[in-house]
Amino acid sequence: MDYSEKTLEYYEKMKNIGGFDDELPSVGTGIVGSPLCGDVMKLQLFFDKYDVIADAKYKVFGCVSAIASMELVTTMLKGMSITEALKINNADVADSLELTKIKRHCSVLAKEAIEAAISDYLAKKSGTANNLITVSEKAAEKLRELISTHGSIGISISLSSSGCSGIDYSLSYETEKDGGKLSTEISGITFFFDKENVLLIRGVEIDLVENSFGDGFSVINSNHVSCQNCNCGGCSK
Amino acid sequence: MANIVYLDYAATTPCDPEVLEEMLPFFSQKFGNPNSLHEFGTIASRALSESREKISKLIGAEFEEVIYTSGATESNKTAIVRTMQALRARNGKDHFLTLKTEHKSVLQCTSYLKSSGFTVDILDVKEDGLLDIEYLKSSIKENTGMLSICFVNNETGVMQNIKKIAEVCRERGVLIHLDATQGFGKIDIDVRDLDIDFMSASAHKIYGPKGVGLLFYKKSLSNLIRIPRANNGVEFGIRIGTVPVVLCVGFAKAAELSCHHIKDNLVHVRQLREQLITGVKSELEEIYVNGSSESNYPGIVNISLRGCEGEALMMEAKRIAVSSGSACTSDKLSISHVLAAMKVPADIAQSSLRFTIGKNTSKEDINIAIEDITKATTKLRKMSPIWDMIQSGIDINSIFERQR
Repeated sequence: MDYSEKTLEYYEKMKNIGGFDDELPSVGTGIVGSPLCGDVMKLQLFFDKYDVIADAKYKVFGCVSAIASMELVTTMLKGMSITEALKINNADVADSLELTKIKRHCSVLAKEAIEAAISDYLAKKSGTANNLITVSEKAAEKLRELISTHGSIGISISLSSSGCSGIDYSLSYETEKDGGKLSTEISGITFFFDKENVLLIRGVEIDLVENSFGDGFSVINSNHVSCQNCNCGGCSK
Repeated sequence: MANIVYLDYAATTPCDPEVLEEMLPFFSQKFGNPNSLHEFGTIASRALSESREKISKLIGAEFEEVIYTSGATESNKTAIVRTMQALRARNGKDHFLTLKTEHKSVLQCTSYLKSSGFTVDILDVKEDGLLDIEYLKSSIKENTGMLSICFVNNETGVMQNIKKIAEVCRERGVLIHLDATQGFGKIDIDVRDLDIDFMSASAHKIYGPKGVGLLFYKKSLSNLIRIPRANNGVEFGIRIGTVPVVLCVGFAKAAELSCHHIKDNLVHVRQLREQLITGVKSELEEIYVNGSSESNYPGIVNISLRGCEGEALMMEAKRIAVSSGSACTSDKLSISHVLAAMKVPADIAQSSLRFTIGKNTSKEDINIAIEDITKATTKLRKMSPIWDMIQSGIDINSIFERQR
């Protein structure tokens, strides 16, 4: 079969095959793909207390290129922070392995596996994480006041749009305790958000700004700023 | 190469030395054009006739009922497209029937027919790959012109009950085209006994040369497929171009050798099939043999080694040359259309390998295959997330079902 030397090199290694106990709070697990498309990849990341990836293991049901892609990314991931890990690009993986056009799908799956594993880790620790969301003191004071007047249990963060203009976040009162959402407590305020949005919520900064129209909250995320380079509708990441 | 066991005889076969010997003089000595009137031409034309005589007798047809083509793909297309066009022009029959498990060359004809305004129904098969006769009966319409059906499926070896199917077609006035690419030379075929109207076959599947096939057609139907105004030229006005005598001579010799050894060959491949299946099953659990175990050509064995993906299996089983039902042949889904039509669950279909046994395959070859497959499967299962799920009793296909 016609595989590049690079693909075969990583395929033959198979050093990072394996896994960790999914129950551990320091482990993030991502399973992507489906048997119908021919590949299922399972990536497990083991984080140290500084949220740095201490180790990465994978299992694959899939072709030679799929296995090589996972071997490569698990090698790259070790020692990376979450921010660095999320910057791994599928094109870099595909180019490093010299994947042919029809096999580039494998590199896309590898990237999706990284995102899924990190999401899982962040979701797991969202209850205790104090660095998912940053709230300024002024904003926290105002929010606490609003919550108590309104009689709600916390603040829900939702995403209203994404694309070239970045992501718009909106805040609302959360009244339902068990709405299936994840929560994290910061400065005495419980924030709720959907599990699948954990990667996009990560890095959100909430501030209170005063302008001529009165007070208002500003919600920004420097991880997901608007894209300068194109006009496409899907490059918020 | 020499150390690799070839188990892909359904893809193609090596040319038999006797066939090669028969062909050799026609390259440089008896090289004439069969259409030439001089001595060189006469020698070539005589050899061509002899080969046609031989091959037509082998299938129970008459001399002028067999033409040579470039291969089964061309035969399929000629029989299907030309017949449907002629039928529509003559009596308005513009409905074509075939099966979901057919070879791509037949399925491609259906796209062409549809784009030319014909109606096409591509029939489902049962889980064992066989066509349900009652379902066929209910699928035939007033305007159905033709059914094209594969004798022996190239991926699974499943063998359709052609006699029964042809009987139904006959009763309802539907013509039948048999794609016998994988059946000819391996299973006895008599076109009169089967009562079929057209048949395709190919030389390179039976130890003949690549690049030549045949099309059988009933004499009374020749008008349906004849090229208009071809003046009864070469190949009875059905195909134009210089006939490659050397290939035809080789084809006829290969057909003769194969057809004379059908019984011995069946005993041989059946034995090795049993050895392979029993061997793999005794070493590994969760092994599935795809397709009917009763009605098949035993030389084609389609086995799913659950938990492992086909392409990776091929990579790991280094000492054997087999083929996989799961190859990234396009940007689309890579699942085998044959196994999908048989409702084989996606993960099992992706784990399939096709072993095809030939006349040169030995017991030792099969032992090597069993050894290699066992090793490859064991290694890949250890690193398979799907195998882990199977082991912990999770229903794989229900998990991934919603992703469709």
